[in-house]
Amino acid sequence: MDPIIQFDHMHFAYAAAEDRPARPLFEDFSLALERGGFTAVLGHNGSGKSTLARMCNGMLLPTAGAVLADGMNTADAASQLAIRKRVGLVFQNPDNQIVSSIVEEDVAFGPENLGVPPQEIRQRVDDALRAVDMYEYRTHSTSRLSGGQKQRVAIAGVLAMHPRCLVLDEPTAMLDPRGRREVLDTVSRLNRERGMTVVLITHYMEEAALADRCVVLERGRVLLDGTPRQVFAHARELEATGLTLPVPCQLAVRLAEAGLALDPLPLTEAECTARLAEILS
Amino acid sequence: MSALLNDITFGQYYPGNSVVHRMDPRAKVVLTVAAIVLIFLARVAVAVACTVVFTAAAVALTRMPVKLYLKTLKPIIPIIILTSVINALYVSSGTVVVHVWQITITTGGLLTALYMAVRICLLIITSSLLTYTTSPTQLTDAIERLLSPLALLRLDVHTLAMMMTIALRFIPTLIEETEKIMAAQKARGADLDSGGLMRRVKALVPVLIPLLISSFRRAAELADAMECRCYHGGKDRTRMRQLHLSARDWLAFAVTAAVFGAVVAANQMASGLLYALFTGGAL
Repeated sequence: MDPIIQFDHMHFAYAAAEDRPARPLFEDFSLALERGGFTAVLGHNGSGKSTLARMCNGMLLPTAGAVLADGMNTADAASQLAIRKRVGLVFQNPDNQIVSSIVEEDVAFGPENLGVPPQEIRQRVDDALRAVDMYEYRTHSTSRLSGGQKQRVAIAGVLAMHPRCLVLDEPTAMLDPRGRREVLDTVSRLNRERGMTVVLITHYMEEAALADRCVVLERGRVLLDGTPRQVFAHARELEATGLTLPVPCQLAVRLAEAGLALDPLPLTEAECTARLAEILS
Repeated sequence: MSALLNDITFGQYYPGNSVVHRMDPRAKVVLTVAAIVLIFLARVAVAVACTVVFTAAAVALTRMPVKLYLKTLKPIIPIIILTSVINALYVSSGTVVVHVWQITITTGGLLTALYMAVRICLLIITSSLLTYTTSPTQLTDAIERLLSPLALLRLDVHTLAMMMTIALRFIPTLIEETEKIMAAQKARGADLDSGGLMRRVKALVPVLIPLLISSFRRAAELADAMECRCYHGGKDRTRMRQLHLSARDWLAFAVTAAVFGAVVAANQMASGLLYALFTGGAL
């Protein structure tokens, strides 16, 4: 495996504050995320998934051990800029990551910071906006877009830096179902068509079903790791961590309890109905 | 779109493709300053008429509804009335029109009041013309470049410009948030619209404190996002939009200079004429 992000026996603790002692979050944590893959990192609140996202590009540094991003140690101050350029981070709240009032000017922010020549910035901005299907909105005001559109602009802003890996920290948590759909479609398309490595941090199992690898975190440890189908089969453990199985999986679990096992485990409603129709006929 | 957001037209940008939109933002900033000087320079009827025609022509060139400009004047109507009344009452020259009790209104006073009202209107229209046709980023970009000589005085012009960009970007976001908080407080029985001034100001405290706290949270998140997008100050930074003065900018400079000349000449001629009249009358 050729890892793009590698957590190598990493330890991490949030510093002690007035009202609480230092709290170790990760202890001897190792995980490798492969290049070109679409990995979903699942976990409930406090599982450490957002911390993990911020460690991918050195926004947070391990207290011991190492995190390697595209072969570079995130603790190395000299490669900080190179790492942030290659590992783009998209946050939860689209309103708090858009810098400029105009769509195309916001997307240009990253490449401008990198000192890319003007004509090339133009090219990159147009490409990035096309990749997220927001090209026709390029001269619009960012404040008048919907949540899903804002989040796609945020993704384009990261894409324009030409990253090798896209890390999204709960990008759909603040969106309505339609916005969520738009963002997820965009992300999976980027992975499929452009070979972009995607790391999707989420607590929605429906979203994790889109990935080709699914890592479940619980209090700083990897609880489960495998394809969504393998992981979702551990219904009991998942529910114990506070995650909610997608409805088709819940149905499959109930059916299995009643003596009818659906094999393979359906992940989507379409799969589920197709399987049931097959059995019933 | 929220009601509050719709009311605020001053300082907003309306994307478009008119000649004025396509002008170099630096030229627009310089010309706006020149126009403001011009508006205050005009002292006589001909000169004031020149500035009115000049502003009207500029407004027409933006190809935007005149209604939009008139809307910005609405909130300052009280100021216009107040200054007009004060001018009409205090300036006494020319012939007396009305004289009741202690109050004397003269033709000179009325004229000054009219000029002042026209000036204020032109001032607001001219400055909204700049912000209507220039995106905030272009505007700050222009200011950054125009102020760049100040970097020699160890002034961090880039950071100043970035602060302006972000402030402008967050105006709509914070307005929206204020409305949300107000609605939330109202839903809990807060009474924000009645009572005396002091009571209303006090009622705003539970709106402003959450707004302040959330602004700090937003600022922290935005700083993180900017860092993730490789922001490291103005050093080695490039710009997507290159600024260059084209023929239309030079033409605008030329026209403005001509109007400037006309206004100054009109002022001079009028004062010469007055002087001649005055000295003639004295003789």
